[in-house]
Amino acid sequence: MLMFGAGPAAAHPLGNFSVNRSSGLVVGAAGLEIDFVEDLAEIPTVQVTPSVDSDGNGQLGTAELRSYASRACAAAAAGMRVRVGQLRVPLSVRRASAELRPGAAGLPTLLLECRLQGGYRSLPAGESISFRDTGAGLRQGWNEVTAVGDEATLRDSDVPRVSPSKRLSAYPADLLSGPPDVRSAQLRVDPGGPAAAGAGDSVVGGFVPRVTDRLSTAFTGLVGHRLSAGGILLALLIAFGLGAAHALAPGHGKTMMAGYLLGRSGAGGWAAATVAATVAFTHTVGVLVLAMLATAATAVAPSAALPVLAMISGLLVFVVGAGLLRGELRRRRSDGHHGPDHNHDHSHPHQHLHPYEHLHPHPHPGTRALGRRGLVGIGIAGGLVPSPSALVVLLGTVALGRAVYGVALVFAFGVGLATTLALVGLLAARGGTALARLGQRRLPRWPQRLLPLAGAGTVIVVGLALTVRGVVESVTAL
Amino acid sequence: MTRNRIISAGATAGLAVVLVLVGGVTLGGQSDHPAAPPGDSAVVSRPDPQAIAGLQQQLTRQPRDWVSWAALGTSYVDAARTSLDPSLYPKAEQALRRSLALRTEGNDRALTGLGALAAARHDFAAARTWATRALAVNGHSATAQAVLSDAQTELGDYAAGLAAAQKLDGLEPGVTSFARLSYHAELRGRTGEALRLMGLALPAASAPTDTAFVRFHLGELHRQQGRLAEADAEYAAGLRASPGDAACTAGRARVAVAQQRTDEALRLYRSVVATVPATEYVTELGDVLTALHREPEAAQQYAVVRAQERIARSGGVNVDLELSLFDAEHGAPAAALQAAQAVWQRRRSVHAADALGWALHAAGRDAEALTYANAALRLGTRSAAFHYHRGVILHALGRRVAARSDLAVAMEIDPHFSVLQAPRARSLLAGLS
Repeated sequence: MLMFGAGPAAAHPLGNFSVNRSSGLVVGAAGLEIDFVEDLAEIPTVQVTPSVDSDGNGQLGTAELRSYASRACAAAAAGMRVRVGQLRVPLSVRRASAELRPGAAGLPTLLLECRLQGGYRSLPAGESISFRDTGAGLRQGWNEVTAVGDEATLRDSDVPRVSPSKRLSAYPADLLSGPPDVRSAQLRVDPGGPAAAGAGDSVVGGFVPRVTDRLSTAFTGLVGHRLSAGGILLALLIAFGLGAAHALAPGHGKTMMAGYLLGRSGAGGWAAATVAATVAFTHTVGVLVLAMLATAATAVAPSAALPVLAMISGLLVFVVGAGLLRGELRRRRSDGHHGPDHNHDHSHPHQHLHPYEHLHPHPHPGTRALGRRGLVGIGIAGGLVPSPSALVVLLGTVALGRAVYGVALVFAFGVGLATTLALVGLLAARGGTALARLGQRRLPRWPQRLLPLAGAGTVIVVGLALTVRGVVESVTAL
Repeated sequence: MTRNRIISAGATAGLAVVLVLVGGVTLGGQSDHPAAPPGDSAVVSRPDPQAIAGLQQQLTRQPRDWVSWAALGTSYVDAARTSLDPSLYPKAEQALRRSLALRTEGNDRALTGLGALAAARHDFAAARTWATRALAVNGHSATAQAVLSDAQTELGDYAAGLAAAQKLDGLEPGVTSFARLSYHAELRGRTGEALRLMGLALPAASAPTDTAFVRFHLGELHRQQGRLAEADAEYAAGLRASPGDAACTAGRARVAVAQQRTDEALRLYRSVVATVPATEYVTELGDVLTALHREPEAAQQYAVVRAQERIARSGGVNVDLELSLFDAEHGAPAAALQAAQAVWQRRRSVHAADALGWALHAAGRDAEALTYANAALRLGTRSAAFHYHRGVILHALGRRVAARSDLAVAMEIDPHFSVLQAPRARSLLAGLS
């Protein structure tokens, strides 16, 4: 406890009667968190002691303090009024703790810490958020409110970002400022922006799925990058590199699958370019559309849209896999007849352009086993589910009035993503060919015969799995 | 423009300081626990934060503006007093000293501010010195006259206190002067005149907190003469002007106690101590609980008073008259006597005399106690508590006739003067007749 040497009874720096409150708002795009701290000086601590000391032994035990904390935090939450637009947002208690600290004259002071949380479905651009703490009453004390955005950007705010008292741990004793008496905040918020520092475990960013890994954080960090020519070029290069790396990040089995399929098609550079272009285009357009939806007045939360897209993407993969299987089975049947497929008006069975066919390493040079539609389907599947960080970047730059820059960043990111994909495809193609040659020379015939079937089966299973996961996520997101 | 704002801000702050000073003194004079010193007392109004902010901005731009430094320091004294926030005292002192350093000669504003600060810290001798110095610079300073009047009154020089109040009234008639003149009439037992003078202050009060202040004192004057309905109406009017006002809420609680609406009284007291846990209110709540035989809950309230006492003592400060009276009535006679003697060393007011007499009685030294009980009534104050204290002391000395007379006067002035002591007064009186 700080001593100011104020003479009469200056124990607590803000007076022995004071009840000091700090509300730190962390505004996300789908919810907000309030980091609430209450510092009871000596006398209020004595006053609440009977209600804390439930066994009446005069000592405040750990369990008693815990129980007090949950009650006091619930009361604090009930005393707060949060409105997003016209909508009242109720708060719930996520964490509560209380501890005693030594105060003046051997008396304790009581520090309460609460993490409160409230959610909302959507946050249109420029939405107004109001906050009011009615719990302090007429009691004298230090009252402060702070606000930061978390993957959301505060366009207007009438409160500071940083707590002037370091969350009631150090009260400034400046001669030209008194204890603040701020109990409310009025904000205007845009979705998108960098994550709030230290909000790593927060679920506030549920509107846009939380960006946690380091690559994504680096990407979203580009939002506020300095806009010189060299700076922009550098940022675009970084975005490209991050996109390329992103495709390799865990959880991108679908991309790998697309690369695998591409490789199996044995189609070479042209097909790879087709897929890469489709991926980059789909990804960029997807992010733009989602961002527009997110900022429109009747907003759709991207976190609700993403699972739907994932589901569609999974279905696409499933369709590609089904096509592969059908083609393979048909090929076998026609092989068994020892004659060309009479349903086709082509004389050469291996040169027709059936869309989803022949993914096994069929060593016919120039064979376009996976047709153009198949390639585009794979590309769409690979690019359809936008990277959340790209969405965050775009929304963030829009909030800062740098939309064009944001689109360029997202596009560079998509190109990076596509490049990795194409490279993976080419490598897979080469590897596949080598395996095929190897197989022709040494392996018995059955693995060569089963491999295409297993491949098609795997694609179907992965497609189904992705679809199911998308369905589950979109249901739980409701 | 800027200059006008500074002057008006300074004037507002000065007025508020003075009001609260009187608030403390007046309250003390009339409550069950007399001599509630200014600063510990009940009138809680938030000082105008915009005035303070304006001065702070002005001083950021013009750090050598001695007028604004004086006004800011005075505003801090006001804020400290009204918010019971002692952390502002050192700030106030620094601001006032800076003003004085920037302009040593002819700076009556800083001198007056330092006087108000000393009074807030209960150093009334120093307050008198500062106010006298300020008046030597500027004999027309109403604020300095107000500080001088309060200092003299608290030191027990009632003639000088009244003279200063009358000069103040000549310089600047208004709430500050009417409230002081009313208090002096009350001290001299002229309750009707006190009510009339306080009534004059009502149209002069402009700020809602000023209105609540005046209404509260009108209510107290009525209540202490047993006119409960009139008192309640005044408190209610004060609360309409300034919702949540602690003093007026406590006033309503006292009326509820007198009318034996104890649930209502407890509700009101609890709302007051949740906002302003001043010794006076916490003690009264504890006493109501004791009277209801709810001792464990009463003990919780008394624990709050003891904590305040502990903090005061650890800060090297002599606990004040309120705490002395509390100790005398709640089983700590030695502490009560020590505190009362220390206060008597510094000031000879009727309240200091009453507290010392009562503490001596609690310590079993009734012969000495009587001297001080007589000194407490030397102005003829119509205080039920003063008469009750002297009656009990006389009774202990075996002077039954005199005791009976004092106890009868106490019950006649206010049969509800204290939830714990009034029943004792009644039973003592019954035993004497």
